[in-house]
Amino acid sequence: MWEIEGIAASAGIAIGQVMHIQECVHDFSRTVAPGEAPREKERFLSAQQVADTELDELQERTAITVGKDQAEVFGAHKLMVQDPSLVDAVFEEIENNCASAEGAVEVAVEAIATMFASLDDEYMRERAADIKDIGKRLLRILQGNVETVNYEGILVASDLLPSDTAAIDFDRVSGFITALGGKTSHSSILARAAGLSAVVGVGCVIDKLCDGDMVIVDGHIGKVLVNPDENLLVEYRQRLQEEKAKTASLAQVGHLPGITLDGHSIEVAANIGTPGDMKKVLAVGADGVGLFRTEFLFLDKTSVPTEEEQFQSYRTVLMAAPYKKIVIRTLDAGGDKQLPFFGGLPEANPALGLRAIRLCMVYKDVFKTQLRALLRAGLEGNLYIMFPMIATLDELLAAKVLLKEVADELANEKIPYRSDVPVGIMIEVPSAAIIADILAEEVDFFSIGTNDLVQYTMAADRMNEHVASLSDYFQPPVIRLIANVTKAAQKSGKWVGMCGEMAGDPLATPLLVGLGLTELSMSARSVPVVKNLVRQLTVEQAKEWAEQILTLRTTADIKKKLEKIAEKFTI
Amino acid sequence: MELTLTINNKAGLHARPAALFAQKASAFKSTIIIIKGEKTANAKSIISIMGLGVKQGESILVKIDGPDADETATALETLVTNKFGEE
Repeated sequence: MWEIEGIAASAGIAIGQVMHIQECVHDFSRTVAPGEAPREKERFLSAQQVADTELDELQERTAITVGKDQAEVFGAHKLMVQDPSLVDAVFEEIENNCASAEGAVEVAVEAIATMFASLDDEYMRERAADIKDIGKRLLRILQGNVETVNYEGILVASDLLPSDTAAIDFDRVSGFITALGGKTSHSSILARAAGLSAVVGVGCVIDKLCDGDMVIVDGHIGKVLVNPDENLLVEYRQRLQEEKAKTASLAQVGHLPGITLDGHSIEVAANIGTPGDMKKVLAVGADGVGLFRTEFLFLDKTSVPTEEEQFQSYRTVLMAAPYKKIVIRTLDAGGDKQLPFFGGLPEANPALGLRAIRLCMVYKDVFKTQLRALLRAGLEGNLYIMFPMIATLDELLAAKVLLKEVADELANEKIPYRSDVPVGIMIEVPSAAIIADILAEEVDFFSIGTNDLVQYTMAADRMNEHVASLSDYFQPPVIRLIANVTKAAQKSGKWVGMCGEMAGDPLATPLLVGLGLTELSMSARSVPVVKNLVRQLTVEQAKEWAEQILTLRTTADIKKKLEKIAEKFTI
Repeated sequence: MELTLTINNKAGLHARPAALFAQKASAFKSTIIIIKGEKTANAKSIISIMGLGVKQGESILVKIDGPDADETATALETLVTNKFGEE
């Protein structure tokens, strides 16, 4: 047995076998001896056949699990695999340049991708991603590797990108280990949302883990036990059982109203990433959805989702809980969530670059399509629209103008839509927190996104484990900014929620309630814990604590104070 | 034989229409070439067609040469006139 230490990214225990996420290898000989051309052509043709069968199966399976429309893309891939343009280019490369089948595929795919990328139509440009996907498939087959489609057990990867995670069935996976990442990188957040235990930032030691190794992932202390002995396994299996039992008893509290002892209502809501997450939201008893990230609609796609496709997704979420508040955030792409169909150059500082609302205001067509779908779906439930990454009043006003434009267009086309959807913004850029009084006059609500707010306030990359101590939402400047936002909003009579990591941390709950937040939105699994705590608080007492905490000078002092407060409650 | 077709469906000759066009073209023996501006495409290749970047409202020239040229022309024309079955 041996141990790996890392960052405890998502609490809980997972026991299972290791499975590495497949990565593409480009290590093959690109040329062959003259005279080998016929053999290489044969190899290509049989790889083409295998790809064909794979794509058939993939299309069939996706049609069942996701939907017929989404499965169509694999039908298109199938046609491309057999396309004369691709085949001609591959054969030419083999014949004229003594290329191996692998080398020829690489060259041909690159040429076609470049051709697509040079077109002046955004929709066509994104086909480059399709052809690259096909190239990846053919290269893998030529190298004799089988497609892993059913990931299960404990996943191991250097980092889980949002596009990887879109393909993972979380019911079959119980935890993961990554070489990179920190507590608030997206993979960690996904793990918490899905209730998986995760240890991240373990470094290149992941190379020593083999597929099939038995591991215990202890997400509480950030440790991985590899090939543990029987005693440890027995001990951990028992702890896993106890955890499950505790979760079950707390689960009942989730369905009680989120009301403080002195009668103030604090909405304890959940964050979701796909319409499928609504099952969990309802199961835990959340008071609504404080953040529906719409990126899923865009991430595993090679083309911009249609208005109809989006409308159906938003509608599904709204109809799942027609009387509960559902806050849907408009597309937050860019940064570490790059989309294949948005062109553009690599940025030196993506977190500070063209992302979220900034990107949407450049690709206005994409943005307007989403707004149209939202306004139409608004008729089906209690919708709130939220713009991400607003930094200035001008940005907010421009986005509102666009929303108005979309509403007018729908009215002209006589398409039914909801005209009085409340509009709010994420407060995640310090500039917005500072001018919250100005912004408050133009919105119906604020929702504080602590993950980015911390990153930007502290100038500390949330993916960089070396500055992890700075990436802490208990830093005094962060808490002062939050206080500034709630004060400004209260003056204008607007409500303030929070949808970042901090909202789901029970240690922070008394402070947040004391600062005046009235909605806390978190991963579904945290809902019962936080609600249980809200029900033991009085706003009056919490306010007093918040005032005291605002005078404290260090993160350590603040945590010490909050831990002392927490002792008074059952958590 | 030559015919000029105007593409009227919403996104032009993007993936799905291009696929349908190539599939239909492949069903015939004739050699079929599409010309748009300075670009030429093999009508039996979805990749080649998409490479033309044909947008809504634009016209393409289709050159058909072979024993079944007439049927080919009719089939392709019908496909385009019906906007590839959209709407």
